[in-house]
Amino acid sequence: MVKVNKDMCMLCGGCASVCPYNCITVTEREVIIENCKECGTCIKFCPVGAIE
Amino acid sequence: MKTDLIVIGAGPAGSMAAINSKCDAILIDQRPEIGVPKQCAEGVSESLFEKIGVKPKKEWISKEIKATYMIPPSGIQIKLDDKKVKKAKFGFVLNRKDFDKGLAEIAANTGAELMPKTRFIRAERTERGVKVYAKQFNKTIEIEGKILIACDGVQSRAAKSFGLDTTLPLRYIESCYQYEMTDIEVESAVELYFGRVYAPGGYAWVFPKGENSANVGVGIVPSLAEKRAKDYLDDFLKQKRLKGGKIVEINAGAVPVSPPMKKTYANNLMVCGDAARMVNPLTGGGIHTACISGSIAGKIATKAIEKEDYSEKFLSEYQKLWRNEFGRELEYYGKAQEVFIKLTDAELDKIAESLLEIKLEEISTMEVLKAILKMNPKLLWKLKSLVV
Repeated sequence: MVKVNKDMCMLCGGCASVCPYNCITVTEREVIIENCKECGTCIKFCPVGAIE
Repeated sequence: MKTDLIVIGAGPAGSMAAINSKCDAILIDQRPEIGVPKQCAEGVSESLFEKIGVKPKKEWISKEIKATYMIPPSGIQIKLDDKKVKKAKFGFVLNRKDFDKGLAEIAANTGAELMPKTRFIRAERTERGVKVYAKQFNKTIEIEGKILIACDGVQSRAAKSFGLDTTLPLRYIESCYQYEMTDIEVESAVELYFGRVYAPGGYAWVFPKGENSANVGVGIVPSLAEKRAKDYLDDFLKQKRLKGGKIVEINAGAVPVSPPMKKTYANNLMVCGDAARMVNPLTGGGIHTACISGSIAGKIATKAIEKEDYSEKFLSEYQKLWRNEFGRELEYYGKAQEVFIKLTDAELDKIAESLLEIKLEEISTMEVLKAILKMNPKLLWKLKSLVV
């Protein structure tokens, strides 16, 4: 299961736009990941490396 | 609550859609403050306001641009200014926070109901049209309408609700990171730095904001990158040009650099701006395409509501109109980007050298691209093989 480091995250929403399984919702204050398939796409995208 | 038109997202596309609609409209945005946070380098061409028919307020413009520098890895500077460009109208660096809020204000003043801090959850088709479920503080609200316009940016969920896939492969999205910096020397010029060393698949930029401040950022294609966008920017800051600069704001974001979506409408739905990937893949610029597509969608929605026809067939007019405005241009820049992202740093250096003496009629992506292709026929062949 991927995890978002809240201290690093800029809430830019990019991870939600690349997730091939539509598992990610980025609200104005948090990233919600549901039913993650662990493909790692969001990790490669993140501009700050907030996803592990 | 009930309305005719529901617009998701109060960025430039959403506000322009609401401004150009003549029906009852509700415009929702998940952010408590429209325009914040800034996720943009803020550069626009000079013709923007004329094209969208909105008179700019003074505070929307941070800086007028009088020159462009293009800088390859070798460090030589290709300066395009009024000595090199006949019609030297370059453009502006906007103040997106005021610009976005200003457009939303116009939308509200022309009759739309604006709802900040209202987050789209999902939408469904109903007998009457569409129903949107949204979260407003701790309440879930239901908005019933006839047409939905999705302007909810690169991570669009609204279009997905109606079955249009807006997911972007890593090759077709730029991972962007930016500092607004102060205490650095700036001219009235934008600086573009090309090469894998700065930003694989994209470029690094310095866009002046004021007397001594600028947006300094990078956009990279993650599938070509060796590190995070933040790392590329932090490395970029080490050069003498930016030494001593102070960071006053940090921005991150995603920019679609793919051809626009093949289908940007469905029954009861139109998709605009970043959500429909209407961005120039070569420059990452998407403000004017967002504004124009939003305006067109607002007008088509009004017509559809007058005629009580919300069918896919009727709304297909939207796609025809935006394609007429900028569709071919975006497709062409998409092909050009396919060629450019494959260039090595040494090849970029050579191209830059060939441009040292260029003269242009006017400043635009197309004019610069034409000049590059003229001086580097090999690139032209590569591009032609893609276009045909």
